[in-house]
Amino acid sequence: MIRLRNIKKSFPRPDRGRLEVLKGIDCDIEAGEFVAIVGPSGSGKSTLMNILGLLDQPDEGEYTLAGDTVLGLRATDLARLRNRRIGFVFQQFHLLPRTTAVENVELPLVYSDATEPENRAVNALCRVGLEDRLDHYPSQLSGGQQQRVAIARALVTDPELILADEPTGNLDQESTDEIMELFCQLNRGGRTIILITHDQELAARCSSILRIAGGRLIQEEAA
Amino acid sequence: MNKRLLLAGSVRILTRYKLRSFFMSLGIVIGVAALVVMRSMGSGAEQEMLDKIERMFSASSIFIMNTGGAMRGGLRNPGQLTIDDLEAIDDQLEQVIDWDPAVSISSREVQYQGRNRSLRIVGHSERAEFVNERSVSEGEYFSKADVRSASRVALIGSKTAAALFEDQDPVGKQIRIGTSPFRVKGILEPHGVDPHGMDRDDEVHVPITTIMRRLLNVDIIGSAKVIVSSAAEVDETADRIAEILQVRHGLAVDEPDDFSIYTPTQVQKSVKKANRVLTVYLPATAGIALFVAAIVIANIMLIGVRERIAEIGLRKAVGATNRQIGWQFLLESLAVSVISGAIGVGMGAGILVAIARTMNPETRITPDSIILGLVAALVVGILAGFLPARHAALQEPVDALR
Repeated sequence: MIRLRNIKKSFPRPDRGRLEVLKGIDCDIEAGEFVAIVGPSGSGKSTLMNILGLLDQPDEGEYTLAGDTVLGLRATDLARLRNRRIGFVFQQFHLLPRTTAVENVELPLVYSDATEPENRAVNALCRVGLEDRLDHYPSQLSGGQQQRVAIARALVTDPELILADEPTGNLDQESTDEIMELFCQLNRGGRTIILITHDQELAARCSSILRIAGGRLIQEEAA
Repeated sequence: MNKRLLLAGSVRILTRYKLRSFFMSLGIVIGVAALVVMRSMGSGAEQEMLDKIERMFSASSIFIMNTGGAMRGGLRNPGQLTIDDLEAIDDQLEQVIDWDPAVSISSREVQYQGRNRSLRIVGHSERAEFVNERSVSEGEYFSKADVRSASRVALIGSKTAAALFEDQDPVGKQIRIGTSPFRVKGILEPHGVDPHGMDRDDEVHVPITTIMRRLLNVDIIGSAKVIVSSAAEVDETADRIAEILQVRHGLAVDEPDDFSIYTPTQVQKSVKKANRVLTVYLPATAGIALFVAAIVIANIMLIGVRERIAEIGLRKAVGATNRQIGWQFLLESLAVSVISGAIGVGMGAGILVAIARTMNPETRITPDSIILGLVAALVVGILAGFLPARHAALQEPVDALR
């Protein structure tokens, strides 16, 4: 599903010079895996997530997503790949304010050719258990419910890969458990999920763990 | 891309952020309303003026003035136009079917039984009734015999009649023009105010011979109106008349004319030119309001882009291309401007109806002002939306999501 070879990424530093964040990442993630990428903050987790999600390009290296080389593609093609293949879940939910749950979930369909966007959005919301909150605004939903709307949004285009960046970082324990259960359920349904977290306990619930440290990746088996 | 959803999203933003949309639209609504009102009233005023000119100066007529356009020694050439000149023109040009000479006195005391009034006195031939298409509403027009014998008869305007005679019937009564007695022969048909601002219902018409011999003692006439057989012949006839007058007045080739000739197309052109203040420049001031509106919208939208940076990042993450993000923001500004433009046109129409009811019943909304208003709104939308749209489109998704 995902094959990374020697991915390097550095950022310019304010005092000239460059900060090397990723110093050569190699990793393989098979379809259907539920992988946790763990590491302390500042270790390059988010940079790796951005590269995996085609939001950012590495300076060097190879990246194959579902058999296709995805480096060096034009911005428009990357946008299309993100739309079709990847679902994003963020720590801050990133729901549009003053926009109902259904309208939020519809958002990726604005940029696709999918028919019946509203039906699809409603279906996705049913799958995350929000069938009775379709027309609620984010401000009327709890944190856990907001994150479930965001997950529905990630699911609505039926992508092979879901990238979740600290999805439970802003949630209480109960909501965290709910969301993790939802991810496990989606994973059992065959979806590849990459969870980025600094929480060891959450990582332990995944099928495998990739530990990022010093800009490199160490593969670990889940306990 | 699902265009319907994108458009629905843009409209949704506008309806959910009502206060923001209100401030964005305010400038356009006011600017477009002002534009529509000013343009409609300007072209209405111009049309009114052109209609008046048309009434006075029909398409197949030529107007000859005794004064040349050129100055001589700091003074206007006094000219030497005579009735003989006109007779020569009538003889030589068969397309000339009628003509009427005129001489006027700008102000002279007119008196009836102790009531005084300073009025313009105009001398015409009996043919003026047809040449100027203005007859009498009471009494009779003066006759050919009146003109031949320079009789002391007068036609008075309806306002003059009301002022001097109140409810008496003026026809047959004796008035004094200066010191000379005149018999009122008829009351002129109402005509209104002419394009020069003169009230044509408050003046006295007498036979041209009477004014020339008895009131002024002159040989030259002030002006003449010539009617040709068709409007198509006006321009050529005007040239021929100029040639005849140049020869008769003994003007050398390089000498400036001591007369001026006006044709209806020339007059319309100069009226339109003079009215540009009303039809172009005044409406253009509404453009300043619209320009300010564009700046306000651009500003609010730029702030909006900054506030919605996470939204832009998210949209890019879920598959929006730069172009689609740009379109979304441009669409928002276009939606605001077109909707406000339509409201502005409606408001302008309302103001025009109010003006028609209270001040000038002739006031109408003109189709060109509606189109102008909507196009102006659209242009404002594009101008105002372009920069914010570009700014939004070029956001890096990674930076935007941070």
